[in-house]
Amino acid sequence: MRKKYANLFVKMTAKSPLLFLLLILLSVLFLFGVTLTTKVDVIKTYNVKIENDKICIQNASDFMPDEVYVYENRNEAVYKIKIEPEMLSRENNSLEISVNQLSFIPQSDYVYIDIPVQKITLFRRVFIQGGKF
Amino acid sequence: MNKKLTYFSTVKFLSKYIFAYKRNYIMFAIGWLFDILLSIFTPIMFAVMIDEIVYYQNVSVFLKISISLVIMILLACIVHFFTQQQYAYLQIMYAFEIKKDLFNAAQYAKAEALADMQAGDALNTIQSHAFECMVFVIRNIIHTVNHFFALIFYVIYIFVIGWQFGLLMLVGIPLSVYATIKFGRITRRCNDEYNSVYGNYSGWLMERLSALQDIRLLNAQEAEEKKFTGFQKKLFHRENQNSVIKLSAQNVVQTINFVVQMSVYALCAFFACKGEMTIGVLTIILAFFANIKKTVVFFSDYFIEAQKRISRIQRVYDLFNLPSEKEWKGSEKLHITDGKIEFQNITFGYKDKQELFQKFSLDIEGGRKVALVGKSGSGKTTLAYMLAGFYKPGQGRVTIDGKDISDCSLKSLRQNVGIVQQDVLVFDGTIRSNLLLGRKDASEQEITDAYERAGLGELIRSLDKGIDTVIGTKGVGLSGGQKQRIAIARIYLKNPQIIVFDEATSALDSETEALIHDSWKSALAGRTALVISHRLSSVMMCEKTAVIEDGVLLEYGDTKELLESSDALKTLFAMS
Repeated sequence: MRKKYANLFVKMTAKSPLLFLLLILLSVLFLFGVTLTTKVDVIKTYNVKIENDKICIQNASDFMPDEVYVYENRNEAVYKIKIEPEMLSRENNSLEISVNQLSFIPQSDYVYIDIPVQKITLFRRVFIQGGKF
Repeated sequence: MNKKLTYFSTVKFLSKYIFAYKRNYIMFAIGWLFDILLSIFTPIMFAVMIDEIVYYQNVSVFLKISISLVIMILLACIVHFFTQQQYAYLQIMYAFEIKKDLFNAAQYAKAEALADMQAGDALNTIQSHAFECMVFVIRNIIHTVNHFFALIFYVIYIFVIGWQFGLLMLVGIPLSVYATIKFGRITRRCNDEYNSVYGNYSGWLMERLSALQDIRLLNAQEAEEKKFTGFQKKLFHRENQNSVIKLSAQNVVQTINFVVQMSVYALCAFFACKGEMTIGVLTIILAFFANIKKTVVFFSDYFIEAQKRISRIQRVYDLFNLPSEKEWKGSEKLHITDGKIEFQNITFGYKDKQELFQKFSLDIEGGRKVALVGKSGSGKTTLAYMLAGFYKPGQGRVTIDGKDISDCSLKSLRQNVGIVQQDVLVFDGTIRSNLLLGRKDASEQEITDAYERAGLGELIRSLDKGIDTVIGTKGVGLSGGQKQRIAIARIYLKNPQIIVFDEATSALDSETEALIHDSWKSALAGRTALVISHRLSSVMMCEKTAVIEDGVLLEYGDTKELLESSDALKTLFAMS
């Protein structure tokens, strides 16, 4: 009896490729499935000056962000700002965002702003862009 | 001298076995490739996960990626389990095939090749070095190819992340590879030397271990211990040399890697200061660099190991390419009616030695008992072995009943020619299994008849388990006379028409010899017998005697007449 099970075990794990290949296929399909169905943002980073509580971004009039991320040093602190429609205005191909109250006081006039401009699949971000934004 | 194996010729040599198990090797390669691809993309997914949560508090993406990674790693563990099963299967089956073929090669090696072969070295080759063939395919072919592809992927991705990092890798990797190749050549040479010394040592040790009593009788323990120490010193020196080279190679490669690593850190710091590097990208670069470093070290180790392994596989190759009896061209079946033997103008010499026989001729009538006498080294045993197909004359021919034995198959030749030697081969096993060496399909009745006629009946009946009693080193010990009777019983079972007794009773006392001679009388009835002996009593049993000296037939004639008239014979047996 034990020999019968032992032979079956060897057959399933070593002699026959079926189970093994099914497993590989399942893993690959799972990986592709997850990465193709998960969407991540494409972030564009701009170095901008805050003037009169407004941030002006050139050549960005097509963007319709729900939120933006503002920071001086990304590796220190990143502040999320929820964008309401009334905060946005477009002028001469540039996008103006009103930031009446920033949750931090910038050390200089210039800050960085990260705007999610579109969504791409995780697959593209990982396998084609190598993880970069 | 066999050709020296290189990496590619080793692959070609092993390809026959690879193709026999190609499915398993492919599955193994796929498993490892999957593992490597996962190791490439996991850091990237991890990096995305970090960036999304650290910078943008994107919890949903973080959770999705982390759960997927957990599931992928679980699946990878199961794939790894299957891959290891393939490895275990190949370890047994692949190595088994090679060992079987090696044993076969040793079994069918020509007598000249066997004389040069050291048993210990052959044992080492069959048991240890055969396994190296499998490891070579796994580590030095499959893993190398997989890691090579992995390296290409890493370098491409590093370029995608930052061309500056890519350039750094492209400078560091070739330097490591160059150092590896340089050290690899030195390693190969050192390993060849090591294996040669080890082979000699194994052969020497095996010989000494089977002759411990003789060493003690000669009070030679101290001298043997000195030799043993000498061997160990040589091996230690070689091992030391190999270790130094391996460590040097590792250190050089590690140093190059270290310099590249520092440069990578410096670049990362530069880009981080400029705000052009996220934590995630930094994680990818450091993970990839660690993997590239590991891969380069793997290549270095694999290449150096490959040289060591090829050196051992060389011994497998050499054993496979021993001159083989399978080259014997004869295929006809030998039918003996009379048993007449003719040595016609035989010219023969051992490899690298002076010719032993030059146009030697001897006719032996069928059904006769002929004694072959002469000093040691005169060629008596060589003639017997030539008759059994172990040696082939350079010129001339050996015929049995007019049939050239080189036209006959070795199997039919040896079915018809039996040789009983001084040292009778008795395996550790039952009496029955030892007797069945004569003929494996002998019936119970035939076995009983054989041992009764050989005079073993009384001995077997006295044992508790009778014929199923275990004899040899792990069982009942047999005396010289009893072993000779086993040999005679085998002859009865085998039933050859021609029998050669090669100093068969030299180690026996006169009384036992006389009893054995009585057994011979009935065993030899109707058969042609060649009796090689230094004992007058054995010679007296024979109708004719041939006196051989330095490969030359001095005299041949009636035994009684020669004993009265032949000076050569009288000198041999110290008769006045």
